[in-house]
Amino acid sequence: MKHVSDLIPAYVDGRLEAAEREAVRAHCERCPDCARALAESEAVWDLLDTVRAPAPSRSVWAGVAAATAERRVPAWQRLAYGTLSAAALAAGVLLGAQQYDPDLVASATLTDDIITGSLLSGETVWTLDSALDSILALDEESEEG
Amino acid sequence: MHDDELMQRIATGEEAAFRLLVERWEAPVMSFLWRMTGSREEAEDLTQDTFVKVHANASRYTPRGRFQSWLFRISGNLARSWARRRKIVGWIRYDPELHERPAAGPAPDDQLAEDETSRRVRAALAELPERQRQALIMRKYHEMSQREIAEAMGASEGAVESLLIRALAGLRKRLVSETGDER
Repeated sequence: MKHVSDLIPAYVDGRLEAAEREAVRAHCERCPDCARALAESEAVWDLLDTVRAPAPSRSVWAGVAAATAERRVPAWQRLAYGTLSAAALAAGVLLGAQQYDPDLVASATLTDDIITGSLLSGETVWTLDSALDSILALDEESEEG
Repeated sequence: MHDDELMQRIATGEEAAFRLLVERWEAPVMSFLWRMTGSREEAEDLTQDTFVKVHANASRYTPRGRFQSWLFRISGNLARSWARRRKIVGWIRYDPELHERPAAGPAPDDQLAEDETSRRVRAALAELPERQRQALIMRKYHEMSQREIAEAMGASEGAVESLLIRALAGLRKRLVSETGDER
């Protein structure tokens, strides 16, 4: 069994089974240090209720709808685009099958993503963030203690 | 309608499904990001970014009944990216004060009417290391299970337990020592 002090967070937020809760309570009755830790933890847990989030000051949907508008193409356009793409693909298969170049295809797909808005600026940032992760790893480790 | 079904409809381009999903989850996402960043303006921007990413990745979503974990993983990553960018800007400016400041401390633009207790608790929360704060917020305010938090953070359940233990100990140290005893 874990030490009681390690069970206190699970105790205060209700994750312990009845038998474990009873074991913690029984231990605290004969251990003043753990009893104090439990009482303080319960108080802190309740204090967290005082931090109430504000309501949004603007319509989330309006902003999201505007930001994703370019991606939401009307059904008839999707159908037309799909038909044209299928035709283009068929033509490509017929005309260029012997000149298949994976890099070229990847490049074309990326260009298509940019045109249709599939590649969002946020995703570029995401990639940069991944690179920054290694730089900041030591700093975060020191934060974690 | 279940979230998984909404996601499948969003993937086919159904705008009404997307709107329903946004309106269902905007308040939890906004409150999570506000507690992570300490700024309403940043939380609103990141909430919008979260749903833009949900929309962009709808076709890649695997319906397993675990939408909240997937959603909070996106929000959590965005919050961490925001904190990192803020930290980097601090380094570039060679501003030691900004560098030492907790990455997601309450922003000065947030002039909420809050009482002294709430302000102290919020400040203590902001001083926790980022991952400890993230795990605690998900558990306390969103009642996510240990497994859901682990999925949302890309960590093991054991690691989440450890984060929760350290987070609560950190809050106790900061809050109880200020007054001697909160009881």
